[in-house]
Amino acid sequence: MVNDSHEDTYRAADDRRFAEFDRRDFLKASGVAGAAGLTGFAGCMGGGGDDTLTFGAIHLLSGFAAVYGESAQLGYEMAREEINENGGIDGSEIGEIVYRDSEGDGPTGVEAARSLVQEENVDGLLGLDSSGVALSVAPVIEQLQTPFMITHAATPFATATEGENAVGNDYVFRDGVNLAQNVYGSAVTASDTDATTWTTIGPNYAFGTQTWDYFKAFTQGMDLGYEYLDDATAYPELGASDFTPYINKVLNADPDGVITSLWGGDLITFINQAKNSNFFERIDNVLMTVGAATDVLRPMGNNMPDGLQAGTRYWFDAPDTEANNTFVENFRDRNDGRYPSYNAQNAYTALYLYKNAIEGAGSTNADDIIDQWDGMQYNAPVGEFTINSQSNQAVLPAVWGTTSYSEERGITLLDPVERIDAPADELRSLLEGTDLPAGV
Amino acid sequence: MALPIQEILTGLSLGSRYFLVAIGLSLIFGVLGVLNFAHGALYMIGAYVSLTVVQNVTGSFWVGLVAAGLAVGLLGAIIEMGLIRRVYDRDELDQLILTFALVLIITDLTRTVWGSGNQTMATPELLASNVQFLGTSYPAYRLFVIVVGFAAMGVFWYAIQRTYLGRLVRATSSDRDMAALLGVNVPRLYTGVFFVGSFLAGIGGALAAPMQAFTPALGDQVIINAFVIVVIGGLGSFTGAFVGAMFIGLLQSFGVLVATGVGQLLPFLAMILVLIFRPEGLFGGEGQ
Repeated sequence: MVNDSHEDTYRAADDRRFAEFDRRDFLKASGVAGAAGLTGFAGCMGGGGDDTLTFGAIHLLSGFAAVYGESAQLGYEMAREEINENGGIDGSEIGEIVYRDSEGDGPTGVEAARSLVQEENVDGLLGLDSSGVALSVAPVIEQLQTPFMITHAATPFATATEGENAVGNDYVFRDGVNLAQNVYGSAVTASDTDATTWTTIGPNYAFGTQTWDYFKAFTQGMDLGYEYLDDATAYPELGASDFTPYINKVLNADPDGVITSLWGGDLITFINQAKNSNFFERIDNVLMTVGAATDVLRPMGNNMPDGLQAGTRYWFDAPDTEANNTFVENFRDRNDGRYPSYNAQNAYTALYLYKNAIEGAGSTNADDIIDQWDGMQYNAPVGEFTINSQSNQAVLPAVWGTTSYSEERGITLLDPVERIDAPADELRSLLEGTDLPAGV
Repeated sequence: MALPIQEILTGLSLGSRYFLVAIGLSLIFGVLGVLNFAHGALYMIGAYVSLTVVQNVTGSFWVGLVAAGLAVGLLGAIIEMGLIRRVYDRDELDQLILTFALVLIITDLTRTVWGSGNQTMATPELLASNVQFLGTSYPAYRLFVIVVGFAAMGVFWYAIQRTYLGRLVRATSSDRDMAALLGVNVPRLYTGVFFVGSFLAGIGGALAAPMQAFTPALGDQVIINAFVIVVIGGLGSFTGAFVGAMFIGLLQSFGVLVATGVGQLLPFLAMILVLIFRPEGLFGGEGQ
């Protein structure tokens, strides 16, 4: 959880420090010192002269969701090796990716970002698995003036600059589907059902409550005439061992449809306990916003119920492009046949976005990298996308499909799977009059 | 009418799971005077041992359950003989640091052996269905967990109050030196108590495995509730551990109906109230 008073203290300390001597001044000073032969480290700050590049990644590497950080590491390391085997970035090898554990905690994430920039002198930052951590880290990135490509955390507020709670700034970008894009896909999916009364069960923090807020806003904007059972919403704590009290609460309200933003182990526990309570027989329409995550589907085996609507931020079977098929094949070769998660794909793509930007600019200067990212088009495994120069967000379709276990492939698939375009102007128009930023 | 019964059964099933962890924690503190922070990690090992035995060795949940209890009990005994025994006379902080170090070591070893990913285990076939109970349909496995929790309480009460071994345990926990002078082999008794506490943690972990996804962080999630329960019930009191566990289970079950997040908050509020008005816990200081 983010501790606001700590945050204020950190920000105040940063304000003072940077008011006196910002990073630009520091770089200039070290450049002068380097030229005079007094220091040799200016090159590894991105100024040239050193033939390795260093990146820093902040992820959940411990605790109940450590698997998400480990999935990202698989993506980074695969990209790093590929890039180095093919001549590196503008002739420079990627020497090391320095990993730091956010522990799912805002102040810890902030400290990690500061340490990576100020102590490890990284050329760029990557990562973040939690919306709560992203909201704490994003404002500090502006002070550190280092590019940050968010690969997982989905809250639109982390990249958005409009709205009073938005913390986006010039240095923070995202290469994955954000929450607004994902939930827009859920609203489109919901509109194809005959359900009219809806409620939610989601994790008890920003991601869970925002999913419900955006779902209501989109479906209201679409004039679907839904009734929202706010009294029956259920927000269990992260890592709860028993969801049955929450399942009972939702069942007692007898909704036609339930949208759940539970993820990771919580989603597995929920599904298993919901099956015991005949939840899926009693609720005709269940939408799982990140249910099609391989980190969930792999351990679930054939226990995942068929016929549920599940969303994801990347699906290994779509799109059917050379970029995606090659990525999936190589990833499976390296990882005992397992399919890449959205976290692995987003991490893999993020490192290539750095490569493109540094080579495009001919420099590792932070401002040059972010200039390159503004409006950049890139053909990633997830599909071809543009980074919106207004929001720093990749404009990507939401992926939704129907769960169906495949004996042959040993994992639940989305069949059929649909890539639902989520155009920025459509999202903004539907959210007009609310205090929710589209962030695209 | 179905809902309150569902909530009561859910609360009792939660309470029974908590009890199996809290009882070991409380027993080890009550007899040995050690606040074993690694107790949650032992519970987590129980889940993994059970999973491995079921998936890779026998395919039988019941064998996995017993194996988990025995393996974790043995691990606990080794830890007691090799490490804990050396800090009995040291400051409580030293004991806490030692057992916390054990948490980190056990967690990292678990991650190395089994990985960080979520693990799941199927409900045993015999208990995989729902049964009609008090006019409601309820998972048979959860009823089984409730039965195990109540049975453990019954066995403990009988063993401590009515058997010779129970008298030895009570005597040693009251005055270790006097017990030793009277010929009680205190080190062996302590190892035995640590074995039993760890055995119960292992059984608790194995019983939890079919009910939830678990990772090497399982112990961290469990130990907090266990501490809340033993504080409410009274450190060292197994009656307190039982009442505290059922109370917390029911609070969490019914709290959800009151307001969002309250189900998690109420146990801590209850603990604060107990600490203010009865710092020794509801059943603390009663010698059991």
